[in-house]
Amino acid sequence: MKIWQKIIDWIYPEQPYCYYCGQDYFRSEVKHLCDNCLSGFKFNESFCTKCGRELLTNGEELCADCQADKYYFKMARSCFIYQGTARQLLLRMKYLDQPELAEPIGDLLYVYFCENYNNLSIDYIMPVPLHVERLSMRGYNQSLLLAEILAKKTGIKLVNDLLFRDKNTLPLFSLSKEARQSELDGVFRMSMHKNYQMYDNTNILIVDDIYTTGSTVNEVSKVLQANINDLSIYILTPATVSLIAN
Amino acid sequence: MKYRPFLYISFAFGLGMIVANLVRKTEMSLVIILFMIALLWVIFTDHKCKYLLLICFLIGTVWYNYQYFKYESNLSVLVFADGQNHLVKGVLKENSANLLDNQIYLKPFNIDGKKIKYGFISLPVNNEFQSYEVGNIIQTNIKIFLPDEQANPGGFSQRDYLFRHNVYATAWPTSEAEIIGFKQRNLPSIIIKKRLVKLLKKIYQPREEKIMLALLFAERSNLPSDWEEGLRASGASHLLAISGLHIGFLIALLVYLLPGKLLPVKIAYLLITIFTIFYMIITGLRSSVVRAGLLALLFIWAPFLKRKGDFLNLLAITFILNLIIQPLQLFSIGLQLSYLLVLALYFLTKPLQKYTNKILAPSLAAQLGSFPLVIYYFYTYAPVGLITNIWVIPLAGIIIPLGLISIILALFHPALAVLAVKLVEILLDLMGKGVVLMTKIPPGEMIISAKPIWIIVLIYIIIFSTPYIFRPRLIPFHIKKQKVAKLIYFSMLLILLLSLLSTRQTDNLLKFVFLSVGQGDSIFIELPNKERILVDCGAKSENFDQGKSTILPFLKQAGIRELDYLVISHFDNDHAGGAIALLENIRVKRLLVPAIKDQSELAKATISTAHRKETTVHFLNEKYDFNRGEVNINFLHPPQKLITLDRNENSLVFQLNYHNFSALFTGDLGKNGEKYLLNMKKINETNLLKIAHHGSKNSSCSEFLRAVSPQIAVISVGYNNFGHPAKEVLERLQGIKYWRTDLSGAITIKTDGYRVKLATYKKK
Repeated sequence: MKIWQKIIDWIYPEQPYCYYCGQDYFRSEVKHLCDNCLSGFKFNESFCTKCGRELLTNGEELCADCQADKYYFKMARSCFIYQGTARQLLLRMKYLDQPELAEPIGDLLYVYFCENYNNLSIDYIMPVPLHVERLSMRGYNQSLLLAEILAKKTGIKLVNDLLFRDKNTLPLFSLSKEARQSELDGVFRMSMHKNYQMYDNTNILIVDDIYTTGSTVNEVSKVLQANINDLSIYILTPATVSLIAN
Repeated sequence: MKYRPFLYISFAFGLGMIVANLVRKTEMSLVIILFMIALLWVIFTDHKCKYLLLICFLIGTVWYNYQYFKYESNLSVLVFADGQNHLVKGVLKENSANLLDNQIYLKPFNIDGKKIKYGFISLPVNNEFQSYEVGNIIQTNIKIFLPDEQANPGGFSQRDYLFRHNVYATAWPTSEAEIIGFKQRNLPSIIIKKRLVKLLKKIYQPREEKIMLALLFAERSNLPSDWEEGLRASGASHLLAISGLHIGFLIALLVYLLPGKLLPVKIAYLLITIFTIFYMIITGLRSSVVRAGLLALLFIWAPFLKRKGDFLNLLAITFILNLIIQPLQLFSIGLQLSYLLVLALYFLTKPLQKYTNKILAPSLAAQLGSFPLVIYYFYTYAPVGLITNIWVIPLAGIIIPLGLISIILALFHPALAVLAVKLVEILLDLMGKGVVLMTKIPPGEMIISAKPIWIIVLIYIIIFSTPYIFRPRLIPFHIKKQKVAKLIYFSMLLILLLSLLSTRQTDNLLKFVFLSVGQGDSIFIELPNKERILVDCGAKSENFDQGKSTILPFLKQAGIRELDYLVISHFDNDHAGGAIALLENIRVKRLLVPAIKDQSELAKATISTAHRKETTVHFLNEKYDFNRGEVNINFLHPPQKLITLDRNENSLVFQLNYHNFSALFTGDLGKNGEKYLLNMKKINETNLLKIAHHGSKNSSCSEFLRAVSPQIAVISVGYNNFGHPAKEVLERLQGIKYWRTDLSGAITIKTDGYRVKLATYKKK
């Protein structure tokens, strides 16, 4: 009976469908996301060469923040603007217990990885850690899910035990930039038992879900830079907050 | 792989067979192919199922080579296919795909006391075999032949064709057969089919019966030739292959007829399944039938298994099954066209709808899917098919179900079917007239010269990649990549166009092709000014017309749309038999015949056809001499004052001179004619001589050969009972290099007037 099931599965295999709208699709650009839903995305087309955020005026290279501030990472890139369908998709993945939505987003991340980071010889991929309490509440770390998919697709090693999140921060989107900074102080801590020397002189790609002001990834970078020598850090996130809407 | 496992498997399997074929048929070495496989291996290095695909690939190569292992083994019929008489024991079989083609198949167990395991022998159904039933085990004396291989450019290889159907040899019975046993009764499907065929004969007029046999059961052997040609020239010959069209109509009819509310749905579908499988079997499990029938069944049963069928995956399953049933069909036009057509309909119809409309799009998609293959195999293309199919398919959609209904009704009583039969006959008449009308629309059937396989593959790549290349993209990086893809696409298009346009070369070559037309003459000559001459056109027998089946395809593959001169040396069948078919099918400007009063039927029919086709007819004798460009054509014979009335002895003889090169064509001239030419001092040394009368001992006397002293001699000859070419002639030819069309196939000779190059079609 089991073999019979297997044969049926091969003759009539599962059909791909869109994880967002549930419709079957004929062809699509991203697996498990139909072109119809994808057309609701706004992709980042003119962006800051440093942090990857949308530029308000064309022709510039750096956004206002990047002209003013110094970051601990080398560059950041995002796939799309955090609005419309894309925003709904991320919210569902994060808060509505739909971790399978990480798959199409991971595929999208891979496309952007190929575009931006393919020839930078990234050595490790690392998600932004989640606090233990939040993890047990949600059941999964959305950044880890994305990082796992990316690591599998690129064949790059995933590192998930280098950093800890000591403090369960308030939701950052409600805070101003300065408040975020103070909220984030001392949130991340290096794991005690690690031999950091193996990371000397390597390139690490950090994966988070949303890039808002860059405070979180910058804090992560800061902690890593403080403990490891000659580290180059790059950032890749699916979404970046629209500056126009803010 | 996850969503369409069989698509990948069928691809690997088919690729295995193609690679095995390349290794066997071409000079491509195994090393290069292994290197390519290694390359693919590296490309698909991340693929989870690469081991499975590799295994499927290897099974494909093994399965292909197994067919040749059987063919070439010691237990194969092939061992005895030497043209000699053999005592054969075996069982008689029939091909359910072709019950009416006057062939019966013998599956031998034993030849001359030696055990035989592999291969069938095809026998003509004639008086000796009429009284035997299929399933009889017989013992008989037969002459076993190796089927003809391809001998001319554009020609047909009967050997390959029969081998693809597991028939390794043909034979002639030389004695009465003796029944020594009985193995099995006919398959019920064949019995039923025979009944249906009889029934069809009973209720239809003879002409309509033959058309319906072709339309309903794909029995094409008796199809009236005007229908066959008409359908081909109007681009609708796919109606003659049982395809998705037929299966679709059949199932639609059954769904409509079966009382769905009375019968449980499952039983109704079971009945449909049985009917479809039955229909597949009685039409002979041809590749197109297997494809269409199985695909339909797989789709029908999907809902009962609570699944959804994926078109490509299911199509791939039918492909694999086809390759398992008849592996070598992969290399036949039937299978290739069937799959390419359906893929084109699947991939191209929707995109085309955006630019055309709902009615035109499927027809256009079908044309795109089929035209490169049609050009590859037939060297012609009928663009009118685009229009024909718009009305012919719906019409067939009425005729075919009506035909089936008429048979079902006639099963109860023939009188019940009268109305349906009348209707079908009216519709067939309509279809016939429509098809004729279509063939009149310019440009008609276009002749396109032979194209190398890579051009055909390139055209298909371009056609099938078009919707993919131009599909709108959303992700910026994909849009960037699409631009690169478009660049590659357009450069491929450019390469294609350049290679298609750059075929015309100008050279100063005089070219001769001595075609291998069995026992008979046919020589194609292209002058340096590109005027084309055909000298003689082979024989026409009851079931084979060299003009239609050998010479026309040759001219088409060379891209020749008209002949400037058709020379008939004399009106014997083996020289002029194919002339009518040529005059009918290709524009001939001038017909040159000997100036004698020839009262034969063939001469009269040929000349009247020429008049009807507005071909000027010239009656020539020794006084004619004319120049075409730098070439001089000098007619030496027949004499102005005829000496004899014998047809051979009055053959047209002419010499062709081009700079230092000359060639002499002698028709069937005999000794007396040769003496006349020698006496009149018309013979001088010649580079190329066509040996007169197929090497008959009554021609080519030593004196004549000495006077001509050719560097190259060609004998146009085939299987015959006259003892041509005669031993004596071959002895007289000693010291002269000669070639025979029966051994070498077509012989091509090219010269610039000084140097000469010769090539033979069969390489050995």
